[in-house]
Amino acid sequence: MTVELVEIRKYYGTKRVLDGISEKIESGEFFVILGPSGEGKSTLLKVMAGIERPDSGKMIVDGQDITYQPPERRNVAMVFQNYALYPNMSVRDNIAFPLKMRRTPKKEIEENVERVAALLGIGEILDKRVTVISGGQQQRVALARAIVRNPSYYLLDEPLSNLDARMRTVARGELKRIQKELRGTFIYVTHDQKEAMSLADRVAVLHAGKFEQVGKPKELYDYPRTKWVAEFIGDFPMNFLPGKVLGEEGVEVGFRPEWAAVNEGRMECVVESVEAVGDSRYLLCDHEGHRLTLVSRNNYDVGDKIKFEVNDFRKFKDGVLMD
Amino acid sequence: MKWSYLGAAFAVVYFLFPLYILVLLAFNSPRYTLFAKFPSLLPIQLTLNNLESALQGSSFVDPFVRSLETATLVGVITLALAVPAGYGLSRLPRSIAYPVLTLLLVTNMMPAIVVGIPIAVEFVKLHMFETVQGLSLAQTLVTLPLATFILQGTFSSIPRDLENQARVDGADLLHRLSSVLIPLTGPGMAAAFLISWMFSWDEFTYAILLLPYHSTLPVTIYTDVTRGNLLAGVAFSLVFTLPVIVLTFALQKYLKGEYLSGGIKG
Repeated sequence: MTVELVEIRKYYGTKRVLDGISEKIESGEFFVILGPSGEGKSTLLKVMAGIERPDSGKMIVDGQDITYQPPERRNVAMVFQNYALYPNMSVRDNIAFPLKMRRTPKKEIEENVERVAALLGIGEILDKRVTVISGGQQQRVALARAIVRNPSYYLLDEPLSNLDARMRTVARGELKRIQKELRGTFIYVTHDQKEAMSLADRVAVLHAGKFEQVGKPKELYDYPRTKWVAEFIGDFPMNFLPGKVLGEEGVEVGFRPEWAAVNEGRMECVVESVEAVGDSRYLLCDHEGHRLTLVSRNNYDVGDKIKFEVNDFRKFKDGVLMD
Repeated sequence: MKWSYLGAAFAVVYFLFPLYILVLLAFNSPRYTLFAKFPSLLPIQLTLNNLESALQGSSFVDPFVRSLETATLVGVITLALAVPAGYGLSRLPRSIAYPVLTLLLVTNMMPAIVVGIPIAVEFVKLHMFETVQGLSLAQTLVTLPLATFILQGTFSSIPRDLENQARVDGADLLHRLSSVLIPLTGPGMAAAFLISWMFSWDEFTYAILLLPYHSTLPVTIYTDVTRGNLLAGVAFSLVFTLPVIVLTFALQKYLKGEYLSGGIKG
């Protein structure tokens, strides 16, 4: 179902946590809300769940205004960061709980629990207590409980952040597969830009209570609307130099490491540290007092003087991308 | 180290000696205890006659049952009121909840005798004087704040997101309480019940003010002792401690500081 946010505002005392959030999320879309910790991502998700009430603004799901509907009356599923499994119940009862609350016939509950358990590969642990299973299994149980019924939209609050790095990559692929299979509207919150880029159909960057930019991952990477986004997105932040270095007056120029070629051209910098990622070497270096990140296949040592040339760049004025 | 053991040994003797005397009185022939000029501290002629004759008199069973009824009723009423009160307080902001909790405990600073007499007057008008139910309500006055304090702590220790999850899963307030929250408050409920039960079990002031004629066991023991029926008093006292010992051992693991402190942190 489509989920539409209209000018959502939320204050805690005098602190503006959400300062006018508007966006239309399409049916079947994997929509990721990305932002650093403490920027109100979880608050926004709680507003969308109905747990918190916005101070103003509207939330419309499938044409219906549900802004003031409590969560128990909304048809929404949510996965919390710590999974929030009911510790007094078995895995099976946890997954069945949302169906039980909706007075689903017993047989139907049974079938649905078995179905999602098979889908997530947790059929074997259905009768265990949730306190004795591993973190990865707990994450699957939480996900199973969310997808066992057919909600209008799904909310996921950093569901992978408690997993170790390897498990996270696996779980990410699985999550994407399940979302496509269900054709569900997934709204996913994370602070991990890598996760956002690999999962999302569209990413919304939340900063200072507003969506600073909303777009496809590639768009955000190639055409960040502001300097802030440019520095937040990407494994390494975008490089910035005063425009006059490249013959552009009154602006700043930004370029990604891979938009510059090392060992060519006439600009020079001094390598300060080297970071290996796969078979690439990311060179953190100093160009006339500006910190830059360049990338090369060849290895360099700290203190080496290297030449580089910027092949592609974006122009920013007052921190905002110029057309 | 050695000295502390000595101290502990002294404390044990100090507290258990009266109990020992009680047991001695109960099982020794009165010839060597109550009626002796120099009572023996050792069992000389063990007998069950004392207990038998005391417990056979109808004056024992009725007060004992009344005590059981009152204590259990106090425990039940207290839990029934303290669960919603504790839940509500745990969901309020601290700036409101803590002053309320403090005020609740202030009610216990008033002596029972001050509160008891006006209550007795009101109960006479309400036809609740000299009833087990009336006494239970009055005793709940003391136990409810304690139980509320314990249970608000227990509810506070349950993560908020667990309840939020239940809401998202479609559970209304009653289902959230019955399926998720209350099953997780077991220890707190046990502690609250036990404290209420035990308080009522040996409560004296309200009992003598509100149920003076056919009273509970503590009052009966008091009248037996003061009116010369010493042996019956001894026998009753002994039986009186038994349920306390049983309950304490059964629920001992819940009676640790962490449950009673109510999970409140600085």
